[in-house]
Amino acid sequence: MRLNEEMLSPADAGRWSRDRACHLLRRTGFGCTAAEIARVHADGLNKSVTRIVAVADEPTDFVAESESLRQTALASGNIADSKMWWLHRMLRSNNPLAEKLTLLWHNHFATSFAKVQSVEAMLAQNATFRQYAAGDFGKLLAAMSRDVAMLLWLDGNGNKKRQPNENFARELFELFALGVGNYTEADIQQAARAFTGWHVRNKQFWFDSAQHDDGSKTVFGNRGRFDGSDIIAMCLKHPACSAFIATKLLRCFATDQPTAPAIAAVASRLRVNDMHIGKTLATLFASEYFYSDGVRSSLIKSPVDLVVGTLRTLDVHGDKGNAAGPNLVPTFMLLAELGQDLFEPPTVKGWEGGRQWVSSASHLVRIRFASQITAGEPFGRSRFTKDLAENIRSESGQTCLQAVSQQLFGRRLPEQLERKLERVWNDSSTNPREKVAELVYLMLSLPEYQMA
Amino acid sequence: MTRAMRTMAGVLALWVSLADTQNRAAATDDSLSGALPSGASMYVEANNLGDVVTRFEKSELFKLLTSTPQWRTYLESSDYQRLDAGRKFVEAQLGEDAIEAAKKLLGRNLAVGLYPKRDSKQPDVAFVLRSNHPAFLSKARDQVDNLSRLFGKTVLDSTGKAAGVWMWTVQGNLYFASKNDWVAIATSKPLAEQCVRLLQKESADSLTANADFALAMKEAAPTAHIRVFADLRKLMEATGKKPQQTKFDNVVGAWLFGGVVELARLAPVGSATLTFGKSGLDTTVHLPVDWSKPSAGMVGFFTKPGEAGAAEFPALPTTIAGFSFQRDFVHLYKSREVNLQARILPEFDKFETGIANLMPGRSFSEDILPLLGRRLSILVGPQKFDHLGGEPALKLPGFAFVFEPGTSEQANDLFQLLFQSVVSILNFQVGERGGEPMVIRAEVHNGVPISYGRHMKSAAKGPLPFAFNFTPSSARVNEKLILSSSLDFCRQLTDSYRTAKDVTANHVTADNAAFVAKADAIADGLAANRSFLESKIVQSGKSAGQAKIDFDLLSTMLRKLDQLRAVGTVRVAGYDLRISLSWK
Repeated sequence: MRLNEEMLSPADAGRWSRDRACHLLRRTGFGCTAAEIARVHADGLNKSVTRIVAVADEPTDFVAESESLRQTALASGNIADSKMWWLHRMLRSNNPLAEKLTLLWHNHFATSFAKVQSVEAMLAQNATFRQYAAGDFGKLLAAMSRDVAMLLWLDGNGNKKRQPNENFARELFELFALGVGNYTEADIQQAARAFTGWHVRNKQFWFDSAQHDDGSKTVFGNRGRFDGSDIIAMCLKHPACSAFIATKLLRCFATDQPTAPAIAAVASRLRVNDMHIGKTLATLFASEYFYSDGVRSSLIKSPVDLVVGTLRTLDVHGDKGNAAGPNLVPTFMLLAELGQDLFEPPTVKGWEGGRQWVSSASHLVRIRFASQITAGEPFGRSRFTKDLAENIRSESGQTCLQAVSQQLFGRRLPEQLERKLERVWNDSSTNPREKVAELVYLMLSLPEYQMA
Repeated sequence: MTRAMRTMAGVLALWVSLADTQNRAAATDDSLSGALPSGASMYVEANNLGDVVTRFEKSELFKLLTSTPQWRTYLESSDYQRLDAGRKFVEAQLGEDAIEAAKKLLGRNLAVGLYPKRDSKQPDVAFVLRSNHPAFLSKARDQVDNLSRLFGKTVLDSTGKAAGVWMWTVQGNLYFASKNDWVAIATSKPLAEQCVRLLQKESADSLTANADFALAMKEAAPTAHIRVFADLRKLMEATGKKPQQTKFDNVVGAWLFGGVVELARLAPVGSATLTFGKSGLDTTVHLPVDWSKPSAGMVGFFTKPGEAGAAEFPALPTTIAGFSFQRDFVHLYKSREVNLQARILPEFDKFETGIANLMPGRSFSEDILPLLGRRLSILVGPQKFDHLGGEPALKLPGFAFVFEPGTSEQANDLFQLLFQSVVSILNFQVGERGGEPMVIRAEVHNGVPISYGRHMKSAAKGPLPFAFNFTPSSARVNEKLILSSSLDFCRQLTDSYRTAKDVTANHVTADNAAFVAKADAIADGLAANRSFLESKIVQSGKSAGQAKIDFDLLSTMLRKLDQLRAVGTVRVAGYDLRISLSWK
């Protein structure tokens, strides 16, 4: 226990830097602008972490636009409209951590519109993810067991007293709460009986008592007339649960390959915090471990991280730069092409992530994205590159190079790479716009940029 | 007028080659076709557009456009700044207002001709203009001569002045000639010289004297503001392709446009005109070709003499749009191997197999298709949702197909069977997606029986699902059979057709197809879905405020318009397609 606590010991306030501020923002949101970095740097670590984990008010315009986009998705019944609604939130919300956690839970409780076929149910599930995003995991797990989209996805209406359907019980143990190796087939069969009669009726959760098996069941060695809520409670008390969720949190916010001590430390904090996600993450974000070399630049950017992060970082706006944000239509289509089609994860296991994000084919699409971003079509034009190009006469090549690397990477690049880029800068077009565009394109194409 | 508006007007003036509003002359007397040599593959002349531009400058639409936030944004753009700089440069050179100069230079009429070259795909081009301001032209000639001396012969070489005609060349690529009130420009010296001879009345071998030109332009209104001639054979030769019958890759395209495409292939020449009126514009395309002898596959496309042409549109004041056409569907269906690409033909076999499951022992082309008649109208109109106890958030208009099977009872039975089958099939699909199934109901509306499919359950509160836009309905009234997506629209149509005089037997017109779209009704439809459409603009990256501004502009512009109408007509002289846009 002591070792675990030491793993998450608070970061040294004296080492707080612009680089660390940038790292915190990138991991807890999608990209970041120079103004955001400056604010977090000025506020210091603890104040910034508290603010990031808390729920901030949203601007009136954002709320109106978001509601308009949500109503459109409901009215059209078209999942593409839902994707654009969510992307708008990721790009413009004052609560990027909530959106990142919503995405984490969407992947954790992977449910696809391809089978659910109801925008209303998918949006309701998404709202539940957001409601409990940084809250009590137990409440989120309980909500998911009664969620309409989840019940449609895992054939809840087929789970009947005389013919139990094991889909939900199996995924509850394997994918939602415990992980493989922490339960038996018999546990699944018995737990499935506890969820019989948990059905959907008139687009709402409905407990069909006539189809519920209220007989005695044995789960994890416990015997009783358990129902679904009892099984959820047993999962939450299971020692594997905190470690399983800790691994998920670390893989999302820290590293693809979390070490056993790191998992144990975060699991310990989860237990101490009664499985409260926000409190646990606050400890993680304020720890020295979070800023260690093993954690920084050790995550491969997911398509959402890459695309939304780049659009935010470069301040991209549609309609020749006069619009409020980037064009959402090509954005959601690009995500699908890159393998992260929102609301449509490929299987119950969700997106595998990590190295699976980058293949030879998807890498070419990532490079094409870099080219499109600098060309200004189809997503929109970057205010960052425009401003830089306009000020280029008063800036030296070295200064521009540093400005771009600071914006894209949050730090200076290795000296050797910086020298190469400087040579390209010196040899490139004399047109300031083209010069900056070429530099940004090269930097977006670097393997280093594919790492978060 | 502000400087920006003047610049805009100047650009428009240059763009459409406006003529002097004070000097309108009859196009026939003033046509420049006599100033261009025969042999052109294409010819375009513009006459007397000045009044159009003047009306546009004074119109509400112009005021509206130049008062929008989008216009103000444009004035701040680099594109506009460049344009304005160009205007200032021209004014400095000419020493007078650019717009006035444009009016003087292009103020009467102008024409362009393309002339194919044997050894090149790029045609030679000849351009001729006639101005009402010879003094201005004289001044311009002097300035060009000065430029010629300034830049030297490599850039602008004066080739001499004979019989009062000034001639220059730009690096041997462009040849200019001018005298009195005219200017001729050509990409080759012989062509320029031919133009000069015609303008000097020293030759008679002009386009006007060409028989093909005369044939095509015979039907082109002489008072049109823009008149176009195309020698389709020469244009086809220029592309290096042999004229072959087009094989379509979809049935809709073949049945809607196949005949016209076929006529365009067979016609040696064609013409087009564009005329601006006080409250509308008309454009007509004319193909002087024997429409009764297209390839065998497309015979069924055209209305035969004495046959009922495309149906009248129902007299509904709120109709949004309509498309009506007359075809021999049986002939076109049987000719599918001639008209369509081979790769889509297997789909017909699947379709016929499906039909055979529904009606075993019948041939689709022999027993079923003839029952549909030869006239089909596709109509779009507003629908109310009173009968649903609520409204969908996204409100679609009603759509309807109107067939004219005559008095056949067999057709009636066929439609009922088709209707019931479609509803049953839809119910299976809806069930798989967790939607609400439909039940077939019937009512008698003003004496006309209507069958319709109604969703079993109405939502108790909140907007209805999108699917509730569809209450498939069918009715038989007089000689028409209506299949509609909306019960309300079906009711409107039955009321209209019940009293209409347009029955097949007495509707003998030469109209092969007709289309109408009404701007007010479209604007009403957009207004009913305002929040949805604004949200679509937000999806493109704009803010909610910007979306409101964009929507308001679109809506206001639509309300300034009246309707768009297009009619395809078969006449002895050939085939005409007339498109009219009217405004308030």
